[in-house]
Amino acid sequence: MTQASLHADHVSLDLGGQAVLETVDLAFAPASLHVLIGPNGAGKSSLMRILAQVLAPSKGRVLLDGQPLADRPARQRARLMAYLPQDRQAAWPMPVRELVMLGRMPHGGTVEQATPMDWQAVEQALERTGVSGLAHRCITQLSGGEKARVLLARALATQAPILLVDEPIAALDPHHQWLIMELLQQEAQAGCLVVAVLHDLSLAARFADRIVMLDGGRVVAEGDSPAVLTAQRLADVFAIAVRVEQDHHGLRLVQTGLVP
Amino acid sequence: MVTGQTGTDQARTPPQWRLSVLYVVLVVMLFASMLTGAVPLSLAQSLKGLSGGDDLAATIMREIRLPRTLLALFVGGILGISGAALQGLMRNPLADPTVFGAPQAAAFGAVLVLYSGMAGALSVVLPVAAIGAALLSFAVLMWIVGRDASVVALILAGLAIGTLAGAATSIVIALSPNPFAVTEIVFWMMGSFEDRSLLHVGLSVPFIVVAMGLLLSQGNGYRALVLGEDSATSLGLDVSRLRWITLVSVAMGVGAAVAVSGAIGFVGLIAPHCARLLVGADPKRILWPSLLAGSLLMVLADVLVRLVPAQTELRVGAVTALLGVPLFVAALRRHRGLFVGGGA
Repeated sequence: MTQASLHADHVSLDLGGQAVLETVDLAFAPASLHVLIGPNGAGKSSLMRILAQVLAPSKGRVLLDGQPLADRPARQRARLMAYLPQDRQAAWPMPVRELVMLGRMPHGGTVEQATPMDWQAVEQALERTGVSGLAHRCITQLSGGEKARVLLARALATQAPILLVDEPIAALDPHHQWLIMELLQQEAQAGCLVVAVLHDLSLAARFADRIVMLDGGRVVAEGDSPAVLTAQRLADVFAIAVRVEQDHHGLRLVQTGLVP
Repeated sequence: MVTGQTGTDQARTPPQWRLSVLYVVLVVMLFASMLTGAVPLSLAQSLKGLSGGDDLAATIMREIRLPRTLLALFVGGILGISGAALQGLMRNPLADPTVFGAPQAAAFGAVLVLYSGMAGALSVVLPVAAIGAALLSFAVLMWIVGRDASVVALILAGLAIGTLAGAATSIVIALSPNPFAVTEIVFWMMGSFEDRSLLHVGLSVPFIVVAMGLLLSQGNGYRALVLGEDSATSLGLDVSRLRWITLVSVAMGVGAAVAVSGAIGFVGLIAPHCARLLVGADPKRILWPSLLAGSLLMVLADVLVRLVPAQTELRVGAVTALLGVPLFVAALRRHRGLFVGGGA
């Protein structure tokens, strides 16, 4: 797999006079699962939208392999970067398989003109997110979690070296949460640059290669799980009381209450 | 956003023969249109008249029925595909040029240049003015509601624009020195294909064909928009370019259509609905069937107005409104959850 790196170069965002992001400077290396965490309103989704180039920053820029992302043609950018937005939209009742084929659009693949490679990518993505059995179903008839996995399959079908996923496991049951986290880990091990926004700190601690903690539009901590997820910092940023334990699987977070 | 509910649970690619039904019925309706009129002509007389000669049959066929049939075909087609394109763009099954006030505005543009003496009835200024007015109505609509408009905001703004344009049209006609003002008002408000010539066809069809081609070429864009604007952008789609092409094409097609036929409503709402029943909800796949269904509906409505015995001929816009308004109400009822904040 081709590899690519991303760099949010001193990115700031103001929306209606409100500072959403303040001078965020973050480099994202390939072959790594980067997890963004932070309380509601910390600016995680805005940062993801800026990285995906669907929102322009007020200041700063995004570099892809050292070059400004905005300078690249849209089609080329779309082949290098797949993005799953937080709000899972499917406006019309379309068949799941045809919806996932939209992920092949950057490569010129459509339902009408799909190469065997396009179909293979679609089937593989359906398989990996566990929705092959739903391929003939209509997207609007699915449950929230099923729909979320179908839309993740759409992002995977692009087979881009960069995968940006905003809350990929929010609506999923525990089995599928774990399955999708393993999938993102496999992607990273295969060379992909994965950035995921997560609210589940335990899964973040277990799977992330690197955790970036945002609060109030700023990066307050980054590094591996033990360095970032300390009881003191979780109390400061999330206002939760957490007991942090280390076992042979890695870090274990046990929430014991709230910090008043 | 609105979730259409026309799909079945097992949404498979629909069979091609369903579209063939549309073609067959359309051809039958075109024949019916060529064979229907105030003067009874036999099939042999009709065919002979169409192919040549300078007798009464030839005059009726080539100067009355042919222009009328062609106009119904193209005007219906552009209204149908305009509805499908707007619905794809807005991700909303209630979108339609009439609901947004575009034909009413186009009628005002045409009436303004016609009755102010700026242009004659067969001048190219007429469709250009209608197209300009339709564009202006879209600009005002977008200015009122903004980009991420709710259904309610769009419908209310469209209602305001359509009502204002309709009132302005009737004032302009009433103030003009034309003694037939009353019938003219009805023509521009309800639309008709009566007494049109091949000159009218030549005046409008080039614009309509270009608009159809532009809209047909945007299918992949509407399909990508199913996932929302952010996903579509990340897939490489230029959403604002798509919005521009769509609105300009719809204004061009609808404006040119209204300039020669008056404002005919709700075809853009009915046609995509029929198309979805035939080929499913995919916003790319419904474009061509919506065009065909629009043509079919319009030719059918125009045959009906000629068959109904009445003192003056019925207005084709009255027939399409009779078909379209109940459908609009049904769709509104189905999506009324949107109006109280719940899901569709």
